[in-house]
Amino acid sequence: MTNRKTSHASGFAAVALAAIISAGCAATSKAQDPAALNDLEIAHAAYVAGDIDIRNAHLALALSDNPQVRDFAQLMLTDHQAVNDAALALLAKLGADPQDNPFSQSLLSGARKTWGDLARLSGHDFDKSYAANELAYHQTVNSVVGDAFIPHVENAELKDLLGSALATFQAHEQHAAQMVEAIGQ
Amino acid sequence: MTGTREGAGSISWSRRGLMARVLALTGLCAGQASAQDVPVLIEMRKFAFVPAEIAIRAGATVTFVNLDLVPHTASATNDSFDTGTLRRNERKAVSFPAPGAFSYVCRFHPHMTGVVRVT
Repeated sequence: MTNRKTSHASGFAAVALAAIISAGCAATSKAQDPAALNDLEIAHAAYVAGDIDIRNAHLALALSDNPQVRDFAQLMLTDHQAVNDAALALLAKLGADPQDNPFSQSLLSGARKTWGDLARLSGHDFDKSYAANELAYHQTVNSVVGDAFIPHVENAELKDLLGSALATFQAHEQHAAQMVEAIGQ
Repeated sequence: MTGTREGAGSISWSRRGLMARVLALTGLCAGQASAQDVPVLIEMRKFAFVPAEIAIRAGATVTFVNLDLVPHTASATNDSFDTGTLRRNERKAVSFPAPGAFSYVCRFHPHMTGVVRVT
C-alpha cells in the first residue's frame, strides 16, 4: 500500500516535470525551448503556468479535507491570481497581447494528464499526490522562469514582473516542501 | 543693555530649541531615535519584512507597506495588532502605545516573521 501511494506521488510529479522539461530539452523543436520564446510568448507561458496551479488548487479544494492541503490550495488561488492579474495589467499597459505557443501548449497538455490522475484519488492518497505534484511543479517552473525566461526576456517591466513572480513561486516551493514533509507517507 | 542680553539670550535659546527639534526629527538626539517624530516604515518585500526587527519608543507608529505582487498581512502572534490584508502597494499604520516585544507573521505566508520592540 505504501509503495502504491509513493508510486502515485512520484508518478504525478514526474508527469508534471516531464511536461515542462520535455518542452525545453534539446531534442524537441526550437519553438518549444523556453529560452527561445519571445516576450509575448513568455508572458503567455507564465500566465498559463499560474493558471494551471490555480486549477490544481480548485481540484484540491474540491477533493481534500486536509487543513494543510486546503490552506495551501487557498494560498495558491490568492497568490497566483494576484500574479496573473499583475501580468494582465502590465500587458494592458503595454498594449500587447500574449501569444500562444508550443511551450504553453505542452504545459497545458501535461497539466490535463495530472488533473485526470489526481481526480481519480481521494483521502490521503490525493493529499500526498497533490503535495508532491505542487513541490515538483514549483521546482520546475522556478527553474524555467529563473534560468530561461528572466535571462532572455527583453522588456524591462516584464523582466521585473517575472523577478517578483519568481520570488512568489520560490516561497511556494518552500511551503510545498513543508507540506510534503507534514503529510508524510 | 539687559534687553539686548535678553535678546541675545532669546536668540541663543531659539537656536538651541531649533537644533533640538532638528535632531529629534532626524533621530539623532543623544543617539536615540525618537520614533514619535521619525516615520517608521516596514516593507513587505520578496516575502520578508524589511527590516525584520526594529526598536521604537512607546507611542510610535509603524507603517507597513506591501511591495510584493501578492497579498500579505502583519499579524501579531499575541493578537495585539493586525494590518489585515494588504495588497500590492497598500499600506497600514499601526500604533504601539505600550512597551513590549511584539512578534508578528504574515497570516498567508507564515515563514515571514518580524518583531517590533517597544521601549
